[in-house]
Amino acid sequence: MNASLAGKAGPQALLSVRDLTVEFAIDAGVITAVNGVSFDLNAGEILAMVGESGCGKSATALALLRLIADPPGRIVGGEVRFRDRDLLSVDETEIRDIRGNRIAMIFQEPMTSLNPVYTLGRQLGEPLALHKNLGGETLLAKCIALLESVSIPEPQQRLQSYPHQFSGGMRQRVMIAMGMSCDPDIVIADEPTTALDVTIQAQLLELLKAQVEKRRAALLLITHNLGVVARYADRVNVMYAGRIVESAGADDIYAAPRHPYTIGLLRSVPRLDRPVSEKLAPIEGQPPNPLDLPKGCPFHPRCPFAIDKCCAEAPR
Amino acid sequence: MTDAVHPVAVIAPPRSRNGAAALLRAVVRNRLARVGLVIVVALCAIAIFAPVLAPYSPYDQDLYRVLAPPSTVHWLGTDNLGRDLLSRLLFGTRVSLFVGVVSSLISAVVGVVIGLFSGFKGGAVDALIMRVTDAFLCFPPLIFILAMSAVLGPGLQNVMLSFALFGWTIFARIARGQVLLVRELPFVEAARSVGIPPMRIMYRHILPNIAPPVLVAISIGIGTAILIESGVSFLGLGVQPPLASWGKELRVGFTYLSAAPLFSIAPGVMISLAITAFNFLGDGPRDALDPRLRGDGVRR
Repeated sequence: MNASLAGKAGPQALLSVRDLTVEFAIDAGVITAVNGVSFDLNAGEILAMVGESGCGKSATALALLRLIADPPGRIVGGEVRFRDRDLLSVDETEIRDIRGNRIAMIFQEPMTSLNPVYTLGRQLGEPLALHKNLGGETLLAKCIALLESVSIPEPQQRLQSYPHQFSGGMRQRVMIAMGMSCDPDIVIADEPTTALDVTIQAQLLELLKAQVEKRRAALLLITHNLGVVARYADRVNVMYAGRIVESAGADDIYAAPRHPYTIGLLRSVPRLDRPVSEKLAPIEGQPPNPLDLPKGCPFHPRCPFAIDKCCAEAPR
Repeated sequence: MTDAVHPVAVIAPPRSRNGAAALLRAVVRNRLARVGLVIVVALCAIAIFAPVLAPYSPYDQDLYRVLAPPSTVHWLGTDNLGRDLLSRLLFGTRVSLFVGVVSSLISAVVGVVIGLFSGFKGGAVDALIMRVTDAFLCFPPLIFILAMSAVLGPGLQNVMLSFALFGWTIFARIARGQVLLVRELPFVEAARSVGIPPMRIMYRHILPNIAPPVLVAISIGIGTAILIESGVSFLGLGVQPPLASWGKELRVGFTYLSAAPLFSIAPGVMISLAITAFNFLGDGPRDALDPRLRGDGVRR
């Protein structure tokens, strides 16, 4: 509905994505996981991407750094503009120089995002050695400082530990430290707290927010948790079936959601300011089959406000 | 002993100075691996000190004492040409171990490189390499090696060469399968996301993670190579007289089974012992390379 709204952030945007389209070829056919997504990310802001599983949020995040596994995935079109360069068309060396250095990623699975055969020190230092040519004492000191900054006790000893000697929350702290190590301009966090328990989630999000703010980095926060969005994000993009269906300020989206899917999402989560007896309203039906998206607006079969026109054409 | 631990250094790039020590500790901690290690060390010692240990030269014939039963003079008796069987077995250890270790290592290095590349590249390259591997695997190993030996001519080097030519396929299969598994793990994606070049991801992040099964395969491969050498020598294509190897002794002794049973039983025991020991030993490094079982570093 409001996909075009996102495109009006102006030329000062740090990262601007236009018509990003990603396809996955599977045996049964071709899935368009990301379908003409456009948005801007401004310096120092926290932009959330929300949507249900399979709506294309992670694929969008991976595509920004060309990390989509090919095959089966393929970025078929669009533009990702970062510092006067289109990340989709720069060569391999150039994109590698940006990954982890200017744009860092933090993944969903802290338990398996670290290589089990290396000590923490070896892994934490890898991006620094690669991008900043640090080594020896300098590298060690920097690694210790990084671990300290994410509140890991006894950092010097901890550098000698293997990932399995850490809890999930600790590992995600390490991943955050690793993401921050080269002082990136943008951090992409792909559901960074999904695999952790609730008490740790809040701690880590606070940490992540503090870290990006300290470095004045922009954060692209991918999540399906609307509470997280409300608390941390400046702006929100709501995704459905590979498209951004609504884009708004984080406060506005709670006060005045405009897309029926956003309304449905908001009504399906419990709220403290409503009576406990009030029933939650689920969004009826299932997410559409990505191989066979409904004609017109992909949300119309589940939409309470659907009219005939919705079956015929997608809203612009 | 160094022979047994050495494969680790070849397959897994040295992680740290104490990596080898950790490995050894884990071998020592596992009971069966310890048994295997002791036997392998003993066999290596025998191979090295054969000239000192052997009571006679393995080549001196005493035609008056052909096929002699065990006695205080000849502990295991003599062979069909009156040579001391014990001495021949001790010297045979050299040949058998050498063939086993060298051919297994060559096939492991070749196989792992091919398998790693194949699994990492994927797609058409992978399909092509795997079809070639399948083609090799169609042949029963002994037939393949016999055919190779027939082409290359008999002799130890050719046995090793043909074993390596055949043996890499198994390692390639194992390595590729492991790569397919490991490359999908999130830490590989995480490594890509910080800008590590593909080649570096392959040898630094994937290779060490595929090492455990490869090490087990190397250990078992040494056993197999010893067995194959024995088989080929048994059929007369491997070791050429008068050089001794276990398989060769078994072959010659076999003809005199009723007259001098020990002549074939003793080399048979040596072969079984060596193969069992290497198989036991294979379990040790596997545990050592599994960091969850590794006891070093800070643990709380």
